[in-house]
Amino acid sequence: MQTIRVIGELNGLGSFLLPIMENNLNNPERWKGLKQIKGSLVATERDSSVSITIFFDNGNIQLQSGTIDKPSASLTSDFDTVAAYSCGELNPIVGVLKGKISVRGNLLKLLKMVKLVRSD
Amino acid sequence: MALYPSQEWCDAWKNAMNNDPACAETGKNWSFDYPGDFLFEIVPGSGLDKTHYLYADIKGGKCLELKMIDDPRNIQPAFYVVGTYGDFKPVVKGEKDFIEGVVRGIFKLRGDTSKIMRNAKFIRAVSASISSFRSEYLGE
Repeated sequence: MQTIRVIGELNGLGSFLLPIMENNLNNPERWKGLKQIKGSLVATERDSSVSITIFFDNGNIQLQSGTIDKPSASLTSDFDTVAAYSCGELNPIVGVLKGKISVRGNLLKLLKMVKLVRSD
Repeated sequence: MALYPSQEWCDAWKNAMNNDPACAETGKNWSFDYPGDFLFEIVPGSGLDKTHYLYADIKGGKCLELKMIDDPRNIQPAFYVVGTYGDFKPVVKGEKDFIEGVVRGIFKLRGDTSKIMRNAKFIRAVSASISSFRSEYLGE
């Protein structure tokens, strides 16, 4: 069973998303794509300005509260948009085009990394 | 006006939830094939003298049961929320957002968060219903 290594104490956003992420690690289909990623993603919830950082290292995934300098990619979104994406109701590219998701960095990598929080 | 927290207040919230079109519409699939009950642990402070527990059984957009309980040990809810009275009060008043409180770590939420994600609109509607009626508060 794959697990995510948590660094330090998790904030509310991290605690909320961790079970979803761990569930995806144990989904063979999803795991296939995730274990090939190397990079880091900073995700920020817009209304609260709470952030988490996820590190991907070819199957080793770590999660911590807060941000890091120079992540591979970063995104900012509100909770409802994250929820809509998570349950498959929102295409992330559409989210970006509509201004619901702000992104920086390697977009291709980001699109792969965010699948970690899909719960559909 | 019901005092928060009390059984009278629980009855008022249950009534508000069950008469809220947004809850009915957005909660149609809530707890369809999984348990969707909540236990709220209200930690003392800000006028509350001891820990209170509030149990809500919600299914299909309707609140089936909402009650104060003395001993939570016999209950295994699908979702467990812990917060202080001082932090719950502004949510009940409609001044602060419950989900934002969870994201900020003000409220600790245990349970299958993917269900919360799938039903975020419903959770928001339920949260909004809590401030749709007037309440009284301890310490004020």
